[in-house]
Amino acid sequence: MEQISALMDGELEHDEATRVIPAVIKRSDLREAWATYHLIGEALRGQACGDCGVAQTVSSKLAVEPTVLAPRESRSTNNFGKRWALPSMAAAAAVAAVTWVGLTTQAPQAIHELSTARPAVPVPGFSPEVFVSSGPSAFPQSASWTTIPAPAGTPPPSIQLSWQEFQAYLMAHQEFSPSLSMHGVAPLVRSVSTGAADR
Amino acid sequence: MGDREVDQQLVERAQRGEKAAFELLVAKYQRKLVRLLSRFIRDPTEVEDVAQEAFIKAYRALPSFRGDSAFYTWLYRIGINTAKNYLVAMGRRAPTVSETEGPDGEGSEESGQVPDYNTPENELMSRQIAETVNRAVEELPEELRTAITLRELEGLSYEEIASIMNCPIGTVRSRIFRAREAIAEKLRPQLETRKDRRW
Repeated sequence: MEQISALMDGELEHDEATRVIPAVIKRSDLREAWATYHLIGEALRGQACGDCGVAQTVSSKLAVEPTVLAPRESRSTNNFGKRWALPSMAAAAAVAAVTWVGLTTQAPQAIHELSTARPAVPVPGFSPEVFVSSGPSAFPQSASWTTIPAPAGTPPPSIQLSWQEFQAYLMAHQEFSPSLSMHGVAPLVRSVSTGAADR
Repeated sequence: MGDREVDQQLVERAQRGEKAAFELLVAKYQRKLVRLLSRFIRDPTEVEDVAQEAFIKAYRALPSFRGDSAFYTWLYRIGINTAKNYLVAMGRRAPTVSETEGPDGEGSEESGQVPDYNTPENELMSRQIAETVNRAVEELPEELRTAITLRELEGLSYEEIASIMNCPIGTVRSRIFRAREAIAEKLRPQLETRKDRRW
C-alpha cells in the first residue's frame, strides 16, 4: 500500500514501479486503494469529488469492448535515441552522398595528379588477359594492341600504363566523364577541330 | 518514476490488452475530465455521458497513442472533441478555441470555484466526503498532517518535504502513506454504504 501511495506521487524508483504496477492492475484491493487515494487528494484540494459514476460505467462498457492490442513500441527511459537517431542517419547519408558525388566528379583529376607524380601506374590483378602496347606511341591511331592470354595457374599480373597511355585512354573515354555536362559531344568537337586545323 | 511515466506504463499495458490498466487511468482522471466537460455542458447527467463516451473513444484510440504527449493532454483533446460533437449534434453552441485552452488551465477550478454541475445528490456527497477528509486530516498527528498537506496542497516532492521537515525521504514516504490510510479508514464506510458504490 505504501508503494501505491508513492507510485501515485511519482516517487517510486523505476524498478520498484515496474514491479508494483502489475500488482495494482491485478489486485482489486490495490486498485481500490489507488482510487481512494486519488479521491482523498482531490477532496483535500477542494475539487469537486461527488458521486462520479464514470469509472463504474466505463468499466462495464469496457467489459464488452474488443480488447485493444497495439504493437508494442520499444521505449527507453529517455528519448535520446528516438529523437536523434533518424536525423543523425539522415545527416550521415547526406554527407556520404555528397562525398560520393564529389569523388566521382573529381576522379579524372585525381587520376591525373596521381599519374603526374608517378610515370607509370601499376593496376594489380585487373584481368586474366593483359593488354600490352607494342608501339612507342600509345595513341589508338598509331598503336597496335595484342592480346596475350595469361598462363593458367599463375597469379594475375599487374598492368603498367605510361602517362601517355593514360592520356590516350582518358581522351578516348572523355565523353563518358561525369564532369562533362553534355555526354556524347566530345567526338563531334574533336572532329570539327581537326577539320579546322586541316584548313 | 514520474507521474507521466506511470501513466505511460499503464497505457502500454492497456495497449497490450490489460483493460484493468486503463481502468486505473479512468479512476485517476474521471473527476478531472468531468470538471473540464462541465464547463461546456450544464446538465450533470449529460456531462457524465460525454465523459464516459470520451473514455471509451480514448480506449478505442489507444493503438494510436504513442506517448508524444502526456496521457491527460491526449485525453483532454478527446474529451473536448467529444463535447463539441455532442453539442453540435444537440444543436447547441460548441465551445470556442479560447474556452478549450490547454489541459492545465481548468478555468474556474483554478480560481478555487467548483463548477456548478452537481446534482443535489452529488453536491451532498461531495460535501460529505470533503467534511470527512478534512476532519480526518485535523485528527492526524502533526507530522502526518504536515507531510500530507505539503504533498497534496503544495504539490511538493518528497525530497522537498524531507528538506522542510528535516527528515529522510523514506520517512516522508511513510508519513504520507500513513496519513492517506488514516483518512481512507474514515472514508471507506461512507463509500461502502452506498448501494452502487462509486469512486
